[in-house]
Amino acid sequence: MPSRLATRLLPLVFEDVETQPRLNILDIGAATAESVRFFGRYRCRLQFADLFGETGYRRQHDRRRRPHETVFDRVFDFPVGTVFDVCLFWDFLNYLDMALLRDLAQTLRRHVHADTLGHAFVPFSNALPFSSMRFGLERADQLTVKSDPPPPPPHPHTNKVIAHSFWPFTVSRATLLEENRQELLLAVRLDS
Amino acid sequence: MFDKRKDADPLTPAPRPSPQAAAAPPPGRPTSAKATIGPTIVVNGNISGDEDVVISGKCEGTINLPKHTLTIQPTGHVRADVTANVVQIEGQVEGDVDGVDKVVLTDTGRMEGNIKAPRVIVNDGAKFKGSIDMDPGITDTAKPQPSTQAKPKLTGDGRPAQTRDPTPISAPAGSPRKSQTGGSP
Repeated sequence: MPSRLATRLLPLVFEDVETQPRLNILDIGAATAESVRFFGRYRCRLQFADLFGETGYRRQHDRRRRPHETVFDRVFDFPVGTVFDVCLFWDFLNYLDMALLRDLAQTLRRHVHADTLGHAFVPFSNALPFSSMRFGLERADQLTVKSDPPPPPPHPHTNKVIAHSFWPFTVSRATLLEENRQELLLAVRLDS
Repeated sequence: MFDKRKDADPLTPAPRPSPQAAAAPPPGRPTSAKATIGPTIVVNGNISGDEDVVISGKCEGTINLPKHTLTIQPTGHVRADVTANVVQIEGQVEGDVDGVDKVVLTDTGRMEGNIKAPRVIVNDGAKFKGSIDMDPGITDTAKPQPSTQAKPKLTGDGRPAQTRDPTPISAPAGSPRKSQTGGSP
């Protein structure tokens, strides 16, 4: 049985977007039974991009690299015109060094709009241990945590780093959770 | 003396019920027949028909069974775009899947592609990469019971957004922004 983790900021994400006619959601994590069930209540398109999963990227590898594209342009290969209302990063940002963090931001810049919201976990302090988890979205205010955690993230970023280096996303709110975990509500800023 | 069919003409085959009379269901009623593609069978091309299909082997091409159930068993490997009433994925699928009623990805299922269906079930242990397009078809909004009071949108600096702009941001990368809220300890 998975354990559970309460979240205070994800409810804000869904309160803010639920009146839209259709949601486009990016989930950079594994497709979990809980998350699919949760989003099944919405009229939505749910894009899973589990970069550590065992599903391959044959389609992406088949095509040639375009000029100026980042590693994430190539890996995600979102259809032209894809724009997300919600981006769920979970712990993923902590697996990226600064260069990759900026690459990800550059890729997503073409796939967000002024009201896009994001959610991510980062450590509260880099002086304390921070372990990664595999999450499922059971309710807007409750996550399931799987018993097969991924390896510890090699580049834990504090919310200050995310706020400074992940444009167009910026930290709108931050909340401290247990075990050195901080959850971030990310908003988009159009001005550079 | 031992020939119990002595009245029958030896040159005339015994009358058999017509295949249509024996196999066809009454008009308008779906058949319960099930076709199986065995584990050693490889199919290249298009599969369509008016019965359920179970795939234990390999199929490449397209599969079109909009009124029936397609089951891809754990040994099955499908590299095709699929349309079926119900799609049960226990094996491996590469391609887009359109489920008229629902798509189920079981714990042994592996899929890379896009799913479109009113209902999608992903069991624990399943592996999936791609998008899921779901539409419970109840309301005009994303959520079945939307809140009655509209909330102001959040912006990066905490101010309510003036209008919704669905246009993707196309501005070139600028210098990193400084957060207006929050901060690292």
